[in-house]
Amino acid sequence: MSRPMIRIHDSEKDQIIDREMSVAEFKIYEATDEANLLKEAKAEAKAAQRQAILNKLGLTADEAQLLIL
Amino acid sequence: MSNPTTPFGWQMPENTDLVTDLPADFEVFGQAVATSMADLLGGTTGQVLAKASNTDMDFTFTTLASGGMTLLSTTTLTGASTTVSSINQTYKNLQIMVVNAYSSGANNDYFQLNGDTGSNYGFRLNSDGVDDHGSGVATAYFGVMGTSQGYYAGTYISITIPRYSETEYKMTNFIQTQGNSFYLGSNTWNNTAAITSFTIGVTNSQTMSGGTMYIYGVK
Repeated sequence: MSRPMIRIHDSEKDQIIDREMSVAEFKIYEATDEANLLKEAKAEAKAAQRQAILNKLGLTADEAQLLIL
Repeated sequence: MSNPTTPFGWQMPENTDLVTDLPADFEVFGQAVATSMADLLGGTTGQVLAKASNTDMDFTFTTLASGGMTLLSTTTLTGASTTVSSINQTYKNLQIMVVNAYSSGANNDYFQLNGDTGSNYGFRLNSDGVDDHGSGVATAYFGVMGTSQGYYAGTYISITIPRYSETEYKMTNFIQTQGNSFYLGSNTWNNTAAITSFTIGVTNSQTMSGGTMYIYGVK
């Protein structure tokens, strides 16, 4: 499987290079993606917790927002 | 008219002066005028006259510092990431505009500075009223890049990087809008190097399908 493409634009020379990620770049990319997935999962869990609390209180998100000064 | 003149104090011939003294009197008068006006000579096209000191008639010609924004690069977004490198270092701030961007899947968009992929970014983000923050992460975050273009569906980001060419810790501020989502945030970078390249990308194996990034230097 080919690695993802990236674009590099040298603004001084106005030269654009489109190339495949190097092996090293791809390793970092995968690790970063993994970290991002974890971050997104945490954000989703936080949103789900928030919704669960709103459901318990019988409030909509807009109504809850009104309670915040 | 008073003699010497008011307010410059240039000496003119007196009523009692002999006619034969007039050439010498006018020489005195003319030289006094010329000396007073000496600073008005010189300068070049486009320059303006400014006070050189608080002393009367002490002027100097000067070129006004140009302000405003200068477009440094225009780049179409593509791939997993797009980097603009060799950013001119002669401006005070960078203003970056991402216009009508979209990607293959709705996932977080991020940026990195100087190709730094280390865990060196701190982010504080408010997305649609929900706060998120963190430090020691490998990318600085914006929001979520949408999957289509248009005035409402497209992703638009305005980023400011103050003092980007200084050797000090950097703060970046951004506003992003896409569809009915609005993101506001600030990122910091655990590095004091001047910023010479800016990378924007999307996470989770998505790729950017289009949109344009403009980088402006601000004096």
